[in-house]
Amino acid sequence: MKKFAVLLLVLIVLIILTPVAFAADAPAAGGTNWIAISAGFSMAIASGACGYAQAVATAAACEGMARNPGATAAVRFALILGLVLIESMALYTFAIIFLKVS
Amino acid sequence: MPEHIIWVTVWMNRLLGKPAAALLAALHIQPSNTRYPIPTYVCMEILVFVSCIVFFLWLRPRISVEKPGIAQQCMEGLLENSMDVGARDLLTESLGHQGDRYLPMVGSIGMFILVCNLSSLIPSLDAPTAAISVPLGCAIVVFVYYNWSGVRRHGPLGYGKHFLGPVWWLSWLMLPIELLSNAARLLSLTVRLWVNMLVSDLLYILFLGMFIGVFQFLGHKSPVVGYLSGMGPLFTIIFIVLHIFVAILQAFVFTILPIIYLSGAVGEEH
Repeated sequence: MKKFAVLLLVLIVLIILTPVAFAADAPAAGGTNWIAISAGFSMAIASGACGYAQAVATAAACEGMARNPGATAAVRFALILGLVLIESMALYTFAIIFLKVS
Repeated sequence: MPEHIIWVTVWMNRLLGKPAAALLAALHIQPSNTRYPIPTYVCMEILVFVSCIVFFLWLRPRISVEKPGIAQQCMEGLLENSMDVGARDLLTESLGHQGDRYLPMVGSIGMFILVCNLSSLIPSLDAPTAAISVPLGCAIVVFVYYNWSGVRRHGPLGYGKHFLGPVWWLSWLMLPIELLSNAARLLSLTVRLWVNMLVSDLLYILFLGMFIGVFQFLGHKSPVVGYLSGMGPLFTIIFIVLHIFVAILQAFVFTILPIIYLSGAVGEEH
């Protein structure tokens, strides 16, 4: 059931994106602003993926701290470092948006 | 995006504008703003640098072993502290006894970025790290430094062998991957610091505006509007705390990543 839902979602995305393959480069004046549209979608996807990854990291850190309270300082250090590095992945997307959206 | 001119830019250009314009003309570089040839981020960098120098010159005669003052204890906390997050603690953890020779470079960069990041908290100042050239400069320095330390330690051929991976029959795959990942370190150091400070600054300034809502609407006849206007400062304080947290954390990450890269470049094979 879950695999079917994923397949359906991929098909829907493909159907929505096929007109892009047939369109030439959008004219500068009067055409659809593909940069703004793709900026919105890409930032949303990047933030969603970053959120999921940080949730997994936080959950693992909480479990580690609960199992071994003596290692709290080390686990907390690794958690903060990991969260910052994952956060920066979403921010790379923001950087490219910032550079491309005039 | 037009450059943001602050009072520091105006005053620094009044002091050093003519020599800077002459230097740029001699190098055939056209400044983006002819009235203020020194950009805002360079002026802020000079301000940060001069303030740090003045502070440490003030602190130096007051350092004592028997009766350390407050400033001395705070500065020592940046080197070694009970949470093991001081610069020297991190170096000793990763590199052992030879860590101390890398302390000047790593500590200076960390301190500079910390003060740069925190300078944006002062209302009329801009963080220099929010302009892409400043994190790029720091990242280039770090990149050159750790590669040069590796070459100095192992010799050029010995350092090159680090890129070939653990086993000889994988070296054809490991070499391009390692070279690419080393180049990506330069990019990631720059972009991580730059975008974090840019976004954090933006949010900070935006939510600072929420403070104004209090004075505008607190005396409103509708109690709902009055109550809601009191919520503004709450979010402002939350975002101020977030900005301070991000500033300190990014400086910390920019300290610990060069230490990790140094330990990879300089470390001995198992």
